[in-house]
Amino acid sequence: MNLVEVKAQGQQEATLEAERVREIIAEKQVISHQNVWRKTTNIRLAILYLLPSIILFSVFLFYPMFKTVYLSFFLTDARGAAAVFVGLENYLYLLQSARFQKSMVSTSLFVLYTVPTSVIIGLFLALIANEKLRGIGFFRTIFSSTMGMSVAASAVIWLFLFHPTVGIINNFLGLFGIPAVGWLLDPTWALISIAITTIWMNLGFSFLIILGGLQNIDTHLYESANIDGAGYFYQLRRITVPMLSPTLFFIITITFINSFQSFGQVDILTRGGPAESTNLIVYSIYQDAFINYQFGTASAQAVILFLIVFVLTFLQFKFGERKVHYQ
Amino acid sequence: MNHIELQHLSKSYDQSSFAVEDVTVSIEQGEFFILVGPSGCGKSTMLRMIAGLEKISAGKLYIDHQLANHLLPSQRNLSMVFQNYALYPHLNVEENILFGLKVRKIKKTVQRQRCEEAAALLGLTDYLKRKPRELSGGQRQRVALARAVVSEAPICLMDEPLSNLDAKLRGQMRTEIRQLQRKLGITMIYVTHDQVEAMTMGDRIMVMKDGKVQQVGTPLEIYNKPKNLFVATFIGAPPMNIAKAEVDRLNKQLILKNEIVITLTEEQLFSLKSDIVYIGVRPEQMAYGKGSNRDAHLNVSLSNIEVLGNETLLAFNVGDDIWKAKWLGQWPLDINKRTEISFPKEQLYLFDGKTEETLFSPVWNENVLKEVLAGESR
Amino acid sequence: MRKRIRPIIFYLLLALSAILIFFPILFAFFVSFMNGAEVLSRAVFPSTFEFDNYERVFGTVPLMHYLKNSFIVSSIVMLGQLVVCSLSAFVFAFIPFKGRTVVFLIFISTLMIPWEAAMIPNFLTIQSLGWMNSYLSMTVPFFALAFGTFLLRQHFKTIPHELYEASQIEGLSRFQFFYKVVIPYAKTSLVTLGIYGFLTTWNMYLWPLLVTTNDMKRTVQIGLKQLQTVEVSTEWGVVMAGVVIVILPTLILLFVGQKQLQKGLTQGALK
Ligand SMILES: Nc1ncnc2c1ncn2[C@@H]1O[C@H](COP(=O)(O)OP(=O)(O)O)[C@@H](O)[C@H]1O
Ligand SMILES: [Mg+2]
Repeated sequence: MNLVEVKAQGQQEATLEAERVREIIAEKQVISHQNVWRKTTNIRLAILYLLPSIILFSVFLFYPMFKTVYLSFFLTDARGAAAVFVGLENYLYLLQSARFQKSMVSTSLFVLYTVPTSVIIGLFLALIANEKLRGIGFFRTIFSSTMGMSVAASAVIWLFLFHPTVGIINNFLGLFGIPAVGWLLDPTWALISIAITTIWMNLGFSFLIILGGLQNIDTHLYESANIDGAGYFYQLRRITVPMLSPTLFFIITITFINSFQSFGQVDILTRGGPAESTNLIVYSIYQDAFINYQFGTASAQAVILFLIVFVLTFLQFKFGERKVHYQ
Repeated sequence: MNHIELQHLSKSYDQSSFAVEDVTVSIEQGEFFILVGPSGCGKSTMLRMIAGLEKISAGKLYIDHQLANHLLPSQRNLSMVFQNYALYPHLNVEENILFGLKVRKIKKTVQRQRCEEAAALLGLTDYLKRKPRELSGGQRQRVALARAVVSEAPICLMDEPLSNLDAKLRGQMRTEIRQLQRKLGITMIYVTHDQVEAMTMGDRIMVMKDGKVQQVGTPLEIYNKPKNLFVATFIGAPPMNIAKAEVDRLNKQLILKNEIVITLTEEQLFSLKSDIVYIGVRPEQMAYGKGSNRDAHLNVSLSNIEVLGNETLLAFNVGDDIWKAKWLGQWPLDINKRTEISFPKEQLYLFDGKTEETLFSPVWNENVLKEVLAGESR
Repeated sequence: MRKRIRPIIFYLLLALSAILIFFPILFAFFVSFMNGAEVLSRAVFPSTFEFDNYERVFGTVPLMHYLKNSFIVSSIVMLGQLVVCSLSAFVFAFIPFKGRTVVFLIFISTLMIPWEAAMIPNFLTIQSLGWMNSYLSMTVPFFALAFGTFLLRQHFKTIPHELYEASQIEGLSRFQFFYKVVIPYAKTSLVTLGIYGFLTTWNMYLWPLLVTTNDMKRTVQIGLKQLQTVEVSTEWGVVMAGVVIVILPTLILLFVGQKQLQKGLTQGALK
């Protein structure tokens, strides 16, 4: 007998056995009277317990998401009711609008400024705070502190720091002979100022997450590397970063998404200016919808934002998940 | 009040194979009934069906002569002790013990009284205010037992309750559980994979394999009259020595591995249905040298010797099989030296080469011993 | 030799980083004690530690109301999230039913929808419900949280199944098991989620900006924006006093719960 035949015979035996099992069960099972009610206990209970979440998600997430897509095909009146169906015109309009193009460029630049910097500094902080030193708890607390800072408070503080007359940053640069920078007044610098504020705000969170990732790495790995006489940077490259890659991947995605969603810092620091150089996408949506009452184009932008976040999250699930458990 | 009966009880998780198949047994009131078998044979599944934690696929379960297939676990009037104790980590010992009573809204005074009694019974009085994590494994298991005790349920189910304990503690808890069960007069169904526990604790044992019942009987029945090869090798430590043998009907003998020849009695020969059999000999039947009543001889070279204080375990090869002999006393023999070992022929077990059913087993008269004991006490 | 130098290098790096990161917060604290002249002279340290600015900030904007509103809203969201998330997490950990995986996937999919993308219709919904300037609009939409559900489910799943079975034998209903065993067992992750919920709600900016128009119902974050617009040119000391008052509760919460939060967030995020 060759392998195929053996396999086929095995399968046949299995089906025969399954048939026999089903027959015996059919013949000898005891059917209860309350079966239907009892059988559905789980599903009834599950629905009851899930109901609050399901209702809330439906009303405040799924429905409005569909509604957003719907509105993006319409021109709306001032109350937000869909008035005229225009198909893809809102999107076409956006793609041609210099304002939207500029907003997309600013947003992309902004993301480019914030994401790598936040993650790299967060990683650096986590690495130096992962040493077994006395008083390390104090430093960890300090490093995570910006996580407790609201966007409004952070923006107000940085507004003061960047201020052209009372701001202390220019003062500080002056000590080194660097000429004053027009932080919030110069279109190029304004975006950078907002990025600096955002990076600072991100640090606490990325630090905490990366530190958690570092602490999850099996210390035996380092012990054996130490025995082999590997140096700090060699261990960093060969053990820490590879083992940390799922965490890094996760934090990169989160920071990406957060950057796309930035609003408060723009509203307080620059209000989208100067010359619309900091008109990031959410701020642009906000303006279109709630200042200019252009719900149609605002919705079209919201859909674009959704697509970006959707793709990023999807990538995180697809590639992040696999890497998490093995390295 | 606490009689349990299973009729053709079966369980299938995937609707294409049985985890437990066609179990029929009646467990008497006050009996200590043991389910034993290798891991994965369906013991837990069966216990959990009795408890109501797992749905019964087919067959009937009677508790106290009432059909109980569809009763909720809490309606079955039983208590259960788990392998990892299942203590609530956020409650202290006293709260853990009383948890079930509180749920059933039993009077406070009764609660306190039962708790005190159970704690005294199990030596937990000094630990009542501790959290489970502040207790040793043995103490935790006692708390779990106390929980079963205060429930005053007439039936108690235990699923490998001792397997997380070290060997010494296990021995001690065996005795404690057995005494407790006798004192309270409860019906116990006890699951274990450890044949020592099964032999030492049970009134009756049910041996299972691959979801099927192999044999039900008292420990001595099972030890002396195993129904098949599996039961014979599963019960007893070290296990029974087994070797395949050919039957030579002409010369009324068995030939092992083409070298060892054992002549058979008429009775033994008569029992053999096929030409290939397994022979089995308990290690404790083997003795050193030749003896007047030990008429089967082996000349072997010892491959290993374990001296365990008052007894010695010898290992040697019979063909490809490793056999063991257990001798009382300390035997400082040399490894690899040829040694004469013998055993009485009538102590031979014979199993069918195909079905593995027992064909012949040594004479064992339960009543002889009983009469002797009765005579002594008189 | 190398052994001695290593900690010194690390302490240096740590100290330098700590100063850089904490400077803005510390500086805000200092400025909150400065008078106008000191601010204009770009001083780093205040000359005196007097609470004038703090007194004045309560006069400039109804900060007391803002604080009260923020406190109420954050507490309600925190409690609401704990209840709603723990209920759904309990289902995903303990109540199997056909299609549970699908429902779980739906929960996951909510992570892919940015709140801002749904905010326009939500705003319209709030209007039509008549929830403008009401605590309802700032609390109810945030009760359901996929992240919170995962976090709790992860912890619930570490509860030994025997505990569940023991409770069944002792006659507990599912709900009794839920609040008598599961909730006390998972206290730590509930605390984590509580801190997280309070923090994020306290710091919420865009949504309260949209749904409140009445000063009596605004939250501290909007208050900060107002304060900064009203007082901007001269009275930076007053503004910073406001900032310090607003960040104090969350910073304290963060410092107290930092360890918990880190453990919980890493677990929820990575498992
Ligand atoms: N919940 C379950 N779902 C599917 N199969 C199971 C389940 N529980 C047990 N089994 C299977 O049923 C058989 C018997 O398991 P079990 O009763 O736990 O054995 P034992 O307790 O004797 O070790 C095993 O093959 C096991 O894989
Ligand atoms: Mg088992």
